Amino acid sequence: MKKEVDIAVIGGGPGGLAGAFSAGKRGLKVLILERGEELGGILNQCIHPGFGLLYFKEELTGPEYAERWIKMVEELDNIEIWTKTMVLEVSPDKRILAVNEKGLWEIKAKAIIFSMGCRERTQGNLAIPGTRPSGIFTAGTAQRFVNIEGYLPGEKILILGSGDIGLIMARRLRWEGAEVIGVVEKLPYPGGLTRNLVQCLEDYDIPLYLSHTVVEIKGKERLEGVYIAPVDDKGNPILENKKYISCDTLLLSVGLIPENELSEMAEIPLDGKTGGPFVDQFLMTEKEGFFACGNVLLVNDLVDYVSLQGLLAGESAEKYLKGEIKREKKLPVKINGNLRLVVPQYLSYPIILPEITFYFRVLNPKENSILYLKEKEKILKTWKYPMVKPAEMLVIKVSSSILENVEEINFVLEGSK
Amino acid sequence: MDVIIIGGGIVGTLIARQLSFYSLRILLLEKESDIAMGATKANSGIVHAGYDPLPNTNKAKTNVRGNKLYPELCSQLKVPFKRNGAFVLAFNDEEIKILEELKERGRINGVLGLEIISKEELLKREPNINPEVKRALYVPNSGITSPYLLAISALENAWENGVEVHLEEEVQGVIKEKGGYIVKTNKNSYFTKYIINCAGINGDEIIKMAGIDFSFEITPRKGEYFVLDKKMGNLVSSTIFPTPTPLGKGILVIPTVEGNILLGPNAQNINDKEDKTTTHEGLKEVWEKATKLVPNIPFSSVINTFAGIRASSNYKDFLIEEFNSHKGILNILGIDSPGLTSAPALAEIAEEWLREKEKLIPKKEAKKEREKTLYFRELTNEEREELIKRNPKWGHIVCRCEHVSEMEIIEFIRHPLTPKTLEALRKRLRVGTGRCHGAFCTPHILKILSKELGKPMNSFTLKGGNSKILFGENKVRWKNEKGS
Repeated sequence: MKKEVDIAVIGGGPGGLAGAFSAGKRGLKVLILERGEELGGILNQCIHPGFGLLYFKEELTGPEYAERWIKMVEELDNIEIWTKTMVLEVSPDKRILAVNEKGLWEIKAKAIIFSMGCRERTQGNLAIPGTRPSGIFTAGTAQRFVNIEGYLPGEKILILGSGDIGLIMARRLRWEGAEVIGVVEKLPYPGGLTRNLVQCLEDYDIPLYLSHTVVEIKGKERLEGVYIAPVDDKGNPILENKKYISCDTLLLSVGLIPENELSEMAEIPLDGKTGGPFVDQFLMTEKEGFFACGNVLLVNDLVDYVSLQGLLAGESAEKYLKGEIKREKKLPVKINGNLRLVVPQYLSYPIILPEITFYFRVLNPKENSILYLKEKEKILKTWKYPMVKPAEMLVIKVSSSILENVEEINFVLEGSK
Repeated sequence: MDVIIIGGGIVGTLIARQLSFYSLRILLLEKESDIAMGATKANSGIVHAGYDPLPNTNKAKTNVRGNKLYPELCSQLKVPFKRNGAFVLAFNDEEIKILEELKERGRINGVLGLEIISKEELLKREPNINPEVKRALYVPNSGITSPYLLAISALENAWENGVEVHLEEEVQGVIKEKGGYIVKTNKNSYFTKYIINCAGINGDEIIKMAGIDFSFEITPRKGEYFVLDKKMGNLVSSTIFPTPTPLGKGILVIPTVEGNILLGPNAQNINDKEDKTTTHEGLKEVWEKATKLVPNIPFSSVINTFAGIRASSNYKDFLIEEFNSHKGILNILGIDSPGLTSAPALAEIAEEWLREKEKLIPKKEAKKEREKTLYFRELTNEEREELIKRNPKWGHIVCRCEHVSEMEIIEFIRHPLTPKTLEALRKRLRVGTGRCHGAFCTPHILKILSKELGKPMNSFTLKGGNSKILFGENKVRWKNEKGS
């Protein structure tokens, strides 16, 4: 079967919902393709509060936050929603092959917004030596079992990785009657937000073992225990000091990977640092008419940013359809010092937008940091941070007037230990 | 029973199929929760050409014969098979000498098409190989297949032809009786005229159990592997071997029929037959040696690791033996490499052995061909449309990485020979074997199992026994504490 739309949005989580809403309220004919049974994506299983402080100025749970956007989207008649629909292929000429219970669909779109989100790194990616028993889950899968299906994945639980989902699951499983032995983190500093460290671990006396990792899995059928060991400065485990911990469940919260398999099919170049497509200030990828927002673009720390990116992607898609995005000149956004990644990775000229939001992740935790925006040796602007952490994004807005006539854009983050 | 086959690995299942074409009462016994749980599950999947085994050994004979049988066998059973060729790499003059020896040995064994090629020629065909290579032996007849799909398909074919299959049934005694044997299991006892012992790493136990006076011992050798993401599928198209050493064929880079790449295996003698653990040292060795053949493999492309156990023995060659003291028991043991390749030839040998003892009457209704299993990911768009029209569940994709639909899962769950475990479905359908490692689809698959079989989600296991996936419902412990 065939279908034609202005904007196809792939993925109906927070990024896709905002992208669809933004394009929809501009009168464009939008189609959301969502593989799950409901809109909302992973928010549906995030039943804890802490969402929406930035965007709605109130604290919501994941499903509540999703619900607001779903309502906004459903009120627009020009947005069509297909759930239980899997996108199989995306071609560089913006043709989408999708399947659902009605059949196979060839969808032709004038612009495409990628909002596929991310997946969790797994046991397989880590290649932990030992046996292969049951009882090893990613934190997100465990979250789904507990919060959606109503089942406990285990009773005596160790968590590897101090990412936010792992921390939240530590508390959640404790509430559901499981014993949470501790959280093991390979890095010398925690991977999650401070508020989650306090509210999920400290408040429940759950120990956090920094600079440790799981080095061996034990148990033939169900997990029986693991060995953990401290790691040296380079992150290599010191096996002589390994210690046995008896547990029936190991949860992994060891990082997220943007799901860009479809972007790759459409031959869109990806940034090795973000794992997402290279984009300009419009969140348009190197292939014109393809936009990316949310965790498929970069792993965000707060859902509010995901929504803001979605809104921008939808707005930009309209600009693209109207032929307003020119790309006469392209300037890379350079990063130096304690910065690990930046989005957007380059600016297109003319800039058109009144201001540009830049998202950064830092390499190392540092105090008293200063972020410089430089053109060659000239400092254009500075921002001060009492503390920067890899777990928390730096988000800044820069007025376009500053960047309109520069020859170089160079962000440098400097700070003390 | 006429024949009891002990062991549901690649040898046992292919023998079951071979004998299922005749009017015989056959029972296959497997102690695990599924067939293909030992070496058949965890191996390289290579159909070797046959230049490696020493001439006139059982290995050499069955290897070359087996390789010839593969194309037709896989086409009858609708199992993927590809002659992707192989290269054996030499990095110095000494190794080049060994390539010459291999080529000559291959000629004696009857392997066709072997050729020593230059570095330039090799790099033209396989550009990602380490450019320090000097020469390579080209092996056009080398192939790849899916060992467990072949075993599963062979046994389903045998079962359709009337072979009985009992899983989770372990042989605990073999007692000589007039005209045959009594086979005692953990569940039952059976009288049978013939026994075929192809019990893999436990084959020596069966020999002892039967009271055969023969010094045969399985000396299990573990091999560890990495699995790379399908994105790396273009790394090499042929199987890449180092020059073999007296210790074995070495650590390889292997394309699979699924499109992933395997790195491995190393070889480690172990005492515990169940020791399928991967180790720091082992994985390190595999990585170092594999990346010597094909450098610049990103570690981030690893999606899994596993270990398998070769049923090697003190006999060195394959043991294919009926002992005078125990007529009627055919032992096919010590089946390490090239066992997968040899298995179809071993099945022929079992048939010939039986033919000398019994008049084998072909069964009229027996089929050699299997109907092709429909996998969503392999169908054309027209075929997909057609199936979705017939049943909309064909259009509901449950496994996003491998594109498996709900209907495929249901059909396999409904097949009597499919154990109702997560791993059994993984083997048959590849659900949960992709890059997300089942993180997304596991809850959905448990739900489908639950709905199909009318049992709660927490009643299912990964691979039988105590490998349960979920514990009780939420708060069950609080509830229990209150209750007590």
